[in-house]
Amino acid sequence: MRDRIKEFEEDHPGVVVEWVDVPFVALERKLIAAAAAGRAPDVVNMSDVNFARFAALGAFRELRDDLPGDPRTRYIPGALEICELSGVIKALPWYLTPQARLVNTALIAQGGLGVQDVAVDWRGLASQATAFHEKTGAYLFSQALGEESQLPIMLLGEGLVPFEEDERGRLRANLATPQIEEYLGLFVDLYRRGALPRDAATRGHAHLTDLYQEGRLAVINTGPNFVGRIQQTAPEIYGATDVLPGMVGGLGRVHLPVMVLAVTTQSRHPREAAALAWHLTGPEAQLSLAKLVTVMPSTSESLSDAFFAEALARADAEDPKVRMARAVSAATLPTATGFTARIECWPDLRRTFEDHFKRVLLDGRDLRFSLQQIEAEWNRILSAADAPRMDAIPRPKRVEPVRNVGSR
Amino acid sequence: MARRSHHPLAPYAFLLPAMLVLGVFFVGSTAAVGWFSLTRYTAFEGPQFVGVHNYERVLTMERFWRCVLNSFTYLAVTPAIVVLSLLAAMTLEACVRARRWLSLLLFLPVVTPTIVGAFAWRLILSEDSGVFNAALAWAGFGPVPWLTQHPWTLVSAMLVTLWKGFGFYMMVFSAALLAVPAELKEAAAIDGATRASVFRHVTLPAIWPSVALVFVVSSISALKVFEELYVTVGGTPIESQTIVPLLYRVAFEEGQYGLASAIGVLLFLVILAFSLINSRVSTALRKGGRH
Repeated sequence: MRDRIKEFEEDHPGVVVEWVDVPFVALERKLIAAAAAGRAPDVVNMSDVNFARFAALGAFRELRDDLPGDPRTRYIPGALEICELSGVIKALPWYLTPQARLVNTALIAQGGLGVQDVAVDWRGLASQATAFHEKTGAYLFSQALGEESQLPIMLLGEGLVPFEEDERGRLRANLATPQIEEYLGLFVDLYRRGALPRDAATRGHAHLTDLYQEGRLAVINTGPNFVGRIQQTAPEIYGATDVLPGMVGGLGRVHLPVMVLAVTTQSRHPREAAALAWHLTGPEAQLSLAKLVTVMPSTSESLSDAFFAEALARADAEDPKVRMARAVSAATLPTATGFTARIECWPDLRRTFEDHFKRVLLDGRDLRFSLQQIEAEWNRILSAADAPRMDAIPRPKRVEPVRNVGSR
Repeated sequence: MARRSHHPLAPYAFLLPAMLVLGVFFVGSTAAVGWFSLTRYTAFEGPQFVGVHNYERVLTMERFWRCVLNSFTYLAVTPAIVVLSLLAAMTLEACVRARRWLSLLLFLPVVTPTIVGAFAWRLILSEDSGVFNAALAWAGFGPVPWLTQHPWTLVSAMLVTLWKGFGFYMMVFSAALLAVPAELKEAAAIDGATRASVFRHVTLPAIWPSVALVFVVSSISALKVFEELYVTVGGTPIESQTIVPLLYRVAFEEGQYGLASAIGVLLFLVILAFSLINSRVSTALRKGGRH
C-alpha cells in the first residue's frame, strides 16, 4: 500500500494521502462516528454489503464525472455491477474473494467421508449433515443463518428469486412461495435437530472460522485468504485442510464478494479522491496486491496475467495450500457471481429477513407465517425505495459447477 | 470585626469551570439529543425538523415495547444484587481474619472490564461447549439455551450484571455496616434480642439510606444495561434484548439518529420516573420504619 500511495503522490504533486487501517468489524461504527462529526474520510474501502448500506444513507458520491477513464472497459462486469446503484456508479471494485471450501480431511474421515464425497452444493451438504453429526458429534458445516444471514444470497445462488415485477415493472417481494419455504426449511430442520451449531442463528461469519479452528466444524465456505490465518492460529487443523472450489447453489456458481473503494459525499477533494480510488484499483496495483495475498483482482487485464493461469504449477516458495487457494479462485472466477442485489434498500431487506428468521430458529416460529410477514415488510420497504427494478437482481444462467481443481 | 468584602461576581467565577463542564457535556448534549429527536437525521445528511414524527414511530414500534418489557424484566437483577451484596458485606463483617483477602476477591469483578467478563461468561454459558451445560448434562438435565433463547438470554446477561456489580455494592454496605454503633447492637442483645431481631430492628434501619441508594443506582444501571447484552447475547433478535441495545442498533446499525434520539429521550423519562418513584417509596418506608 505504501508503494502504491507513493506512486500516487508522485503523480499528483501537492496531494498527501493518509492511509488509516481500521479493523473490519469496527469500520461501520468508526465511519458513522466520523461522518456525524463531519470528518468522514475522502476514500473508504469496504465490502459490497456495507457499501449498499452506506450508499442508502447518502454516504457516497457519483463517480463517473471524476474518473480519468472508462470503468466499463477496465473492470470485469460482475464486479462493476455491484458498484452501480440505480444506474449510478458510486464505487470502484477493488479485490475479489471468490468463496472456497476448506475441508478438515481428518474430521470428515471420522464421519466416514472422503474429500470427494463432500457435496459441492448446499442441498447436498445439508443432506449429509445429520448423519455426520450423529456419527462424530462435530458439525459437517455451518452457515450464518440469522445474524449476517447468508440465506438471501444463497436463495439467489439457488435460482430462487424472492422478487417479482408488479404491473408497473417495479420490484415486489415474492418470498412466501413453496419452493423458497422448502429450501429454507432444510436449514431450519437441521438447526432444530442440532445438526448445525447454535451459533448459526446468532453469530455471523466469525463463528465458522472459530469452530473450524477448534476442529469442531468439518467444512466451511469462506474467502481463500482465510487459509493463511489457519496456518498461523491452528497449525494442526491447517495440516489437515484441503482447499476445494466454493459451495454453489442450483445455478452452479460460486458467490463473489467484492471489496470496493468509494468516495464519500463529505470529501473536500472529490476529484483527487476519485483519482486515488482509480489508481489503487488499476491493473498494476491489483496484480501486485494479488501476488502478496490470496485475493483476486477485478480488472480484466490483471486477471489475464500468467500468474493466475499457472498458480497450481508454480513450484516457488509459496505455501502449496495458498497456491491451491489461488488456483481454486482462478478456476471459479469466470462463472462466479456477486449474488448481492444492486438496490440501496438491500441491507434493510436483509435486516428484516434476519430479524424474522432468527425467531424461526430460536423461538420456534412457523416458517410459512414468518415468510409472509417478511414479504409484507419487504413490500413496505420496496415501495418506499427509489423505484427498484428486476434488472437489479442477479439472475445468471445455470452453469456446471467447478467440482475440483488438481490435487493437494 | 470588619467583614472582608469581595467582588459580587466572585462566587460565579468560582462556579464557572464546573458550570462550563456541566453545560457542555451534560446540559448542551441533553438539549442536542432533545433537538435531534425532533429531526430526521442520518450521519451523512444533516438534521431536518420533522416535529414529533419520531416519537409517533417509536411508540407504535412493536420492538420498542418488547424491549421496554425486557428492560423492566431486567430490573429483577436489582433485588438480587441488593440481597447478595448485603449478605456478602455481612459475611465480610463476620470474617475478621479473612476480611482483607475476601473483600479483594469479591471486588475483583468490579475492576475487570465488562467486555472481558462478559466474554468469559459467554464461554462458560456456551450451549455447545460451556461448563454450565456440561454440569447440567452430568446431572442428567438437558442443555439450556443460555445464549440464544429468550428469556434465558436475559438471565445470562443478568448473571454477568450480578457478578460484575455486586462487589461494588458490597463495599457500600460494608461502609454502612461499619457505621452502625456497636453499643446499640450490644444493648439490644443484652435485652434479649435474637440476631435476626438485631438485624431487623437495629442494623437495617441504620443502613437503610445505603439500601435505598443501592436500589436506585442498581435499578438505573439495569435499565441502561448494554455491554453485557452486546457481548453475551449479541446477535439474538433485538426484541429479546432491552432498550439500550435497541437504541444502539437504530443509531449505529440503521443510521437513524433522530429516531435513536427519540428512544433516548423516552428512556431518560422512564429512568427519571422510576427514580422518583423509588425515592418516594424509600422515604416512605424509612419514615414508616421510624414510627
